[in-house]
Amino acid sequence: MEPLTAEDASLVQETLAGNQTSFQLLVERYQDRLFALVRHYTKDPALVEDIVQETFLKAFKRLDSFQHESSFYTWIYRIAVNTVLDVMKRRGRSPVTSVEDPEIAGAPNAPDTRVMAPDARLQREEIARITQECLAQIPEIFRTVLVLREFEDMAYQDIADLLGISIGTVESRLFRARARFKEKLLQRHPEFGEGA
Amino acid sequence: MNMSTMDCGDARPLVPSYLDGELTEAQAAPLRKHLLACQACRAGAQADKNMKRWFAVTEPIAVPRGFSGRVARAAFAGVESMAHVPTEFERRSPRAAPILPGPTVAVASSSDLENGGIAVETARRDEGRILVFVLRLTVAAAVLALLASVAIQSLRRPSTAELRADDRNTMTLDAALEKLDQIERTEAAKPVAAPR
Repeated sequence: MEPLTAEDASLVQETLAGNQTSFQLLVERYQDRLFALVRHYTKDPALVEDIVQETFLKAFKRLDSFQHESSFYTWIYRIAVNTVLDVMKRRGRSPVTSVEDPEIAGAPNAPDTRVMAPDARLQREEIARITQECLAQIPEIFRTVLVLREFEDMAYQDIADLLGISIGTVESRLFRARARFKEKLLQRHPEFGEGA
Repeated sequence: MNMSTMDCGDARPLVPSYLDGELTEAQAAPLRKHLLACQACRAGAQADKNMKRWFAVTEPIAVPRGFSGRVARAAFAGVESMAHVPTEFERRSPRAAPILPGPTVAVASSSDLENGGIAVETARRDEGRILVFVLRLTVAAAVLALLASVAIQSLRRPSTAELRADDRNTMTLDAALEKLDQIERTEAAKPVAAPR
């Protein structure tokens, strides 16, 4: 978990004292990371912007409750994850459906075929596009742990704290998330299976 | 099987946590030893590592210009939802925004989502506003060019008087008859050349 920097602490205090520019600086410091996080959930740039905007507005509203025990980013990150999951759920993309409860369901029938690393000839944009396509196909509950672990490089304990779940659940969800990602990748692009 | 103390059944579940850097040295050391000795588990670990490379690439982030300023203004103005916050352009020319077709996306605000739809806010993006501005500028330029062209043509056209076939404005009928008589008299006064 990132420690609170002196700059962030100062900007938070100045914002609370009514300095709009300080809040703008806080937004500028973290907007890139939040846009990067949220776009794993939707391809719609307008919706990404709205969710990030709402995250900052919520943070501003609750700024006086910000405990200086964690970094500002960890704090706002938690708000962002909750906001994006909330919006996805309200937009009818609930992570848990009546047909399949991911917590109960076992591991997917992932093929035994192993996945190759992305072909060196593929453009970076192409790799990112394929990854996003596959991520979009897996339930949010799994996608979130995968995004937090793989893109945000978060430790299991931090993911557990962020989502309010145990480390064991993080491990279990990560295992299933990777299996599903592999399944989707091989379904859409069988050429990336080892021996294909 | 292998010569190490850890067997494949113990080793394989630990591989993802090992690759994520989540194992303690006490857990990682025997696993490393096993992977060195067991070709099958080593290949499995390599496949897991390959899959992680699909997450190593991300698309470039495009934070809309002026985002931080808009959010800071909205926060200090008391805006709480992700309803669209007007850009600088919209604030200066409020009538400009509603027409805009452009790359816009209609997005329900969070309050819409929460309250079943009180008002649907149309999210207007900067590109759309710029497009409208350019379109308006083009139309204005075209109208000005048309007016200038009409004015120039009008100046260069001959006047009605210049186009008249008769000389009514400069010579009366009596004067014309007088002039004809004068010509006849002049002709009659001339000596007739004797025929040879």
